[in-house]
Amino acid sequence: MSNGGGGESSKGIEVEPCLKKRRKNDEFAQAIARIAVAQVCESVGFQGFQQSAIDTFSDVACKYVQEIGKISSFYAGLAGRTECNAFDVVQGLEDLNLSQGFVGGSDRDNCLSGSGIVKDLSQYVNLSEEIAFAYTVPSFPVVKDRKSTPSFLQAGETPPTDDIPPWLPMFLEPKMDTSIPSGIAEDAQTMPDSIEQEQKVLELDPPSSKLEQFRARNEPVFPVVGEQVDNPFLALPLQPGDKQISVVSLPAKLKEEDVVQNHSNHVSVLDHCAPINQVTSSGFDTDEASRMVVLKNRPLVHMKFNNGKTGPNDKGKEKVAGWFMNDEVRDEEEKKTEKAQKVQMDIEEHTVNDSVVN
Amino acid sequence: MEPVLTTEMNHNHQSNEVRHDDENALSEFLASLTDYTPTIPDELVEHYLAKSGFQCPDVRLTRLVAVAAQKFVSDVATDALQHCKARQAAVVRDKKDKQQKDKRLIMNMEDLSKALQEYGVNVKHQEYFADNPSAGLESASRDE
Repeated sequence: MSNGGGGESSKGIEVEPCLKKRRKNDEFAQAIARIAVAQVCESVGFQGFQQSAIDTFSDVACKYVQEIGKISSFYAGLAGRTECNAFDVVQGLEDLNLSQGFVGGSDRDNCLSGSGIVKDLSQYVNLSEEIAFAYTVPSFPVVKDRKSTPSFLQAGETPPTDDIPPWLPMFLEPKMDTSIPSGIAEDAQTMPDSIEQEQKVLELDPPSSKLEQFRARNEPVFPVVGEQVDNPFLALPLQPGDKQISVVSLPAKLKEEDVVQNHSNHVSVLDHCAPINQVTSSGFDTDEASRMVVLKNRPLVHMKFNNGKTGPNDKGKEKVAGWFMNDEVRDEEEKKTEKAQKVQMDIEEHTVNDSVVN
Repeated sequence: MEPVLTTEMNHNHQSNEVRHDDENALSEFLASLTDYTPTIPDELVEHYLAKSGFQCPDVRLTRLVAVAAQKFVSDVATDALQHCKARQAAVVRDKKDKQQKDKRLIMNMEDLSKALQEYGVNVKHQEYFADNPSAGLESASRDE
């Protein structure tokens, strides 16, 4: 009887990538467990281990510890306590070792402190050598220091409304706003001021009437000011036309409006245009497309996208370039590329079927 | 009913004295744990106990659990070692080289699974690994 893994005693770590990703959270603890278990086994008499054997064994040992914890906390809960004591642990150990058997396991009312388990353990402690762990282990998991926002009481401020208790953390204010009083949210007069200040911080153009109307309509529950300046995800949504963006160069065939002035600069890019540009440009309204400012200073972005198919890169480029050519040329090329792709598709299907049929 | 009661009473009378000793034994054992450093580090045990909801600020209890786990590991390892030695004894030694090689005791999945079986842990070792799900199935269909 020979094992599939062979009789190697190498300790080379060759874990499969998928297994590694699964154990990501617990890798450190399991590595330490592996070392500890290996040390204990060495003291028993083993001179080498199979990689799979030591992995399994350390896993079992970790699960054993977890089981003890689970059963002990169960007994503590049964007694109406949240913290475990020695008797809970002894009861847990009794439950786990019942299959192996210990002195006094069959007795009906046996005091826990006189349990056979305790005697076995004390015997083990007295007889076995004390082997220290090979490395110094830092306390883990490491808790990151977080700056928590102070409560209203701690900061010495009163909450804006009565129904907010003062022991709750404060509402966050943008850094520029130090002079704004706490009761801003419901005050319509101060809202434009806060909006302006916010937008200065966020580097936007002066607010359009649309933005103010939007805010007035929504009537936020918490103050408008309560947004973190640093977090771009909490920033206000941009209205079209607020921010200057680069122009999407439309291919000659697909342009709809009079965006001709942009094309003089962008003709050279047509060969390298990705198909995504077409999608985004068709999404804009015609009015806004005409309002887009041409930025000549920006460098042209050359994007190359792989289609994900097994064909060479040239085919992808050819296919993309085919969109910008005349109809006749395009049809001829399409026929050629379609044939080639069809052949490829057949091959792919064939291989897929092979593994599925059986 | 009566004889049962009397025996119980006797048992209780005796056990009252015994309990004192037992409690002392337990407290002494716990006290001795502060000196003894188990091989399994405290931080690791605390981590896994915290994972399962075990709350206790007392170091001695974590040491108790660590010692219990260490005893479990050493028991399983002893059993696996006995399996390993039994297997080596069964192998016929023809040359001296084999003897030297066999002296090296290596823990196999086989021995481990046999030892763990007695403790109620079922670890099944794969006999072989296939590279895709259909490996081996084609041959079966051909045989039929």
